[in-house]
Amino acid sequence: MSALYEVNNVTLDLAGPAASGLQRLLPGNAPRLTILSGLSLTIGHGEMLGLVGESGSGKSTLARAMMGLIDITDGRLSFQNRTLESRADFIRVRQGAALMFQDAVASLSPRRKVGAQLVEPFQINGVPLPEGGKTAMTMLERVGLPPSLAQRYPHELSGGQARRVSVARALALQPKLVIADEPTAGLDVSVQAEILNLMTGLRRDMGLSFLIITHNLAVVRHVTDRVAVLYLGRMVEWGPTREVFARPRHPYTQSLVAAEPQADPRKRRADLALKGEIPSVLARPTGCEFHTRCPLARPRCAAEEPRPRMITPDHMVRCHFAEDTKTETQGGNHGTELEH
Amino acid sequence: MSAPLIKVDDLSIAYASEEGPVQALRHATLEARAGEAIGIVGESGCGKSTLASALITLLARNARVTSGGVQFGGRDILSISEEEKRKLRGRHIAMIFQDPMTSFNPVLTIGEQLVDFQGQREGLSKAEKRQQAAAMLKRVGIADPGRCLDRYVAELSGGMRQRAAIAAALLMAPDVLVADEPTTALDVTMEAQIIHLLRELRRDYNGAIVIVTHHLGVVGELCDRVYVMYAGEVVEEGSTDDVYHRPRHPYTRALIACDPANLHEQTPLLPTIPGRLPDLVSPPSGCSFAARCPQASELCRSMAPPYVEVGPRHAARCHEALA
Amino acid sequence: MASGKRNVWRALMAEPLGIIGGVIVLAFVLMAVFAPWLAPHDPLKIDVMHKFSGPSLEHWAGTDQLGRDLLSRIFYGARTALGVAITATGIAGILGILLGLVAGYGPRWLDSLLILCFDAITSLPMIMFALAVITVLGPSTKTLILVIILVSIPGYARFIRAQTLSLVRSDFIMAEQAMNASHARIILLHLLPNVAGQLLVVLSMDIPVVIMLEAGLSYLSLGVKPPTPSWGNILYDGYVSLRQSPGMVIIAGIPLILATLGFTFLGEALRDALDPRLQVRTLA
Repeated sequence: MSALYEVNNVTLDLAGPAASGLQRLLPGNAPRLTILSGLSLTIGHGEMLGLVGESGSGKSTLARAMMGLIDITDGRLSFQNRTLESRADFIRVRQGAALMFQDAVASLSPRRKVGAQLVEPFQINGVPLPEGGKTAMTMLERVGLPPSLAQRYPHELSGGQARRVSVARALALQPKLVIADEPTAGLDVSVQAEILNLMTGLRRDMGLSFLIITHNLAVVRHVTDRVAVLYLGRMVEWGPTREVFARPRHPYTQSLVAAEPQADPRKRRADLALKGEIPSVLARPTGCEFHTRCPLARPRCAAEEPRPRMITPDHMVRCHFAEDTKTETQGGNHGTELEH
Repeated sequence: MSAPLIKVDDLSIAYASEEGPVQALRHATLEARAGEAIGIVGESGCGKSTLASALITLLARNARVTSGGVQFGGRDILSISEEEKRKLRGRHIAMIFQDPMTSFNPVLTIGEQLVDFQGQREGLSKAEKRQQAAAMLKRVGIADPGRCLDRYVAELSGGMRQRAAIAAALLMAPDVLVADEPTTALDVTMEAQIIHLLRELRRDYNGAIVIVTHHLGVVGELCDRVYVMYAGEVVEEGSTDDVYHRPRHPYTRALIACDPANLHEQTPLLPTIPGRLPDLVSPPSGCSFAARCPQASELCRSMAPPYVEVGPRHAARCHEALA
Repeated sequence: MASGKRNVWRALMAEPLGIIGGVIVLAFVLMAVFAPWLAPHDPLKIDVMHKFSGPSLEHWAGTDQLGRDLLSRIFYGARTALGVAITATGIAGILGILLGLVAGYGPRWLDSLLILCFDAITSLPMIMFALAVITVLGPSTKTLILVIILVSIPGYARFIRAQTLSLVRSDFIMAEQAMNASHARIILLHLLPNVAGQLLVVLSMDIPVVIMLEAGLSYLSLGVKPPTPSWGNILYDGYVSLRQSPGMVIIAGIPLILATLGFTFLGEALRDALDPRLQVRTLA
């Protein structure tokens, strides 16, 4: 598969909180926080890739780095087979890829009307408006909103409407890739289904690629082709969605799948899948980052960083004991049913 | 079976607005018994938050009770004085909010506030109150309660904050615990931990727990019975198992169907609920779900459906409930 | 739903103190604009025969030590007071917005440099600073305005900078950057409208401070030069002749107090009206 966007061995460090004032002026070992570490992934043409992990795993940082809003420290990004190096390269990325923010209302300028904001991508990038004065109306109609919404201010929109407006604006320049950060966070289930249908429909009709960043596993399981699981800025598992959900190999993925609350009271679990909280990047554990919470951790995990292993040609797991973790997860009811 | 601890009886609440009174809650009836966990589930605008605020007698300033009331301890707690309401809150009816940040004062330590919350408890010294607070923090799974007592809310992680908020709510051993979207602000793993905690706490808690949520998963994991709300009305109630496996109201069916968590096969198109909520300033005279209901008949559009008993403690507000 | 602007107007009118403030401010503005028509006498016309005369039909507010009509001098004084206050806060506000936006949005070195300049100005005692500038340039209304602008800019710029800093990290600015928006576009179209309203409130609450400042400096003979009528000059004259005519100080003090109250009420009402969090919204 030829990749549309490629993230190759990307590391992203930020100055630590201690590095302020005088300390910044001192040469040498300023404390650095590793937000993303040796991250690689590819998004194919027309593919829907899911990126999951808890908050603090670096999901949103990766999205911003891919758009050139945060500089990466090391590694390589490339879009449409061209390595991104200069500012001009990222201007090209921002014309061919769009970013949808988690908080759709907050991503709209509070004191400008919706209509004015919808045509901004054209004005900014010097692209003539496709339908002249009616552009905003047409864009609203395309995402199933009444044209009268163009006269509203962002705070007058409902959550679902704001989300649709941000989809409309993301699609303005007919991008090849849409990076959607938590596209359904805070939405009612029926509205969530509408937004997901809108996105899958766009993909089908326009051949769009999507990177869907979320901690909602049900969404990922449903709409994505492949899924990448992030823990503390490192990819711990990556593979076809069906396979990862049916046979999660990394203990973290297994715990995530098992942690999903079940609407069916007959599927209640008595035990707790994952104890403790994600560690802070300020105190990154040694060896395998997950060993502090891992139910299967052994001494080796604290000492040695696991290498990525390919379980099948397209299923990667970063765990010393990936071969031993084949057992079904406790909450693996989805897994078994997905296979049938 | 024990008598209901708290009972919402034919409660209607309207909010004053420029367009006229918004009938946010219409003739809602609900009860929770000791030792029971009930769920109130529905989408935004269904009236569940209004119902929750009525349960803890914290109605918005522009809200007006137009019928019914909330029965607790042999009286209607919506019509008692502000002073009596204040005594009731915390001591008898406590609340856990969606955002635990808002339930703590940012400039006081957790310990100071947990001691302060016990102000009404007589015959306890400050040190004893602090001990009580530490014991409660320990019970909600905070490993080092002594250190937590000296922290400010901003210094705690999201999961810890929600645990501390639960501790604060349980401190006075309230009869009714109302939790408004207790896990919405949390990650999947934190959500699972808080659900697990609430379930464990139920073992030795004798009060009633009311969970208000839009997330069917939370109801499925935690609740014995569930009330489904739509457009200000309770449209279905029953045991969680009955409602999930044998939903009798078309809205309940649609709600379960469109949650991808309940679908095990990838489908190109998720089911949705077409249409919009009716205008609550002038609610429809017939069934409020009729405009969006696939089975709606002429009868549904013209006449409000009765609340039909379809099984033991299982009822649905639908003309077709028995069909 | 009504548009944003009409909501602000309605919220402003819902505030009783806002209405009172508005009426007072409007009265002073009319007084200043129509002073030549409203004033019963020439404010500069000396009539020593009738000095220190109390209120009479001829001179409603009496006369001063030179027999000038006090009411007319107060009307013309409003002209000076509002002229100085509005010009000075207006220019200081515009410069403050520009510098604040640059400091908040621009590179960090520029921010540090500007903050250093602001701190340098604010570290000087205001009266000392005014004395220094006035000694060099000589006392005049123009010098007065310049001094007020110089001492006001740091406060406004810091206020705008703080607002800008909190906005720069918000999603909608990042969304603009993700669409390739230029810095000028972000500053002018997205930051400016979000900070300008709040500054308007600060400015309107600062106008009475400037009026007092003008009166104070004029009182010290550092501001408006006599015989130009200014509330500060009238106060000074009244103070000097307190023995002969104690009423003069009171009569000059009343407009000062009223103007201060009016602008403060209006500013507070404006703040409440502009702050969407303070607006009661009906639940949908």
